[in-house]
Amino acid sequence: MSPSQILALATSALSAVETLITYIVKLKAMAAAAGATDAELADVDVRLTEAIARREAE
Amino acid sequence: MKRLTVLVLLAAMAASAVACGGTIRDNVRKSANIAGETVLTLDQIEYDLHDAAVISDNRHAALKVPIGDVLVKVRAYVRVAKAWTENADTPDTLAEARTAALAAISVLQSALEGVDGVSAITNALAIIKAKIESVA
Repeated sequence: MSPSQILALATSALSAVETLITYIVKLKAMAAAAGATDAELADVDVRLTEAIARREAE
Repeated sequence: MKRLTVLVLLAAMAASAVACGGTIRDNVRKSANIAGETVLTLDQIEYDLHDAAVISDNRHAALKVPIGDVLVKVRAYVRVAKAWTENADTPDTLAEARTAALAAISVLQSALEGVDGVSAITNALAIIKAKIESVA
């Protein structure tokens, strides 16, 4: 495995960690809220739709 | 990564504890928001772990349908929660959306059984399941 390949793998692993950290911060905010607003649910809906499209496009 | 997933579980447990207050509608909408954000995180982490060669090409291909199905079913649950207006009765479609989402999660959990290095994903699934079940 070349150094550039190792770097690419490490970058991907770090990206997974970054995703988790971002999620933890969001989760804390969501846990503190009484419910969820229409805007928050609409935003999640849009991003879920994008994620579904990305999976289907593979 | 394992320490982080433990942190995620602790945060989710705290979130579950907070969900005890409020109306049923509030709790359903909150659970939908958390389930949606969690499945989006799970989806991204699967791509990252595939890029990091933790998940093989074959496994990644095999996970396409079950992950896609969880995304679709959780989105349906989010849509039911969003459509639930204040002071309205519990939507007739809520139970069906919950059942479909939980079934899709079970299928994905089965697909991940015995796979190494995917605890972040299996823990995320456990969180989504717990959040949806918590408002039964």
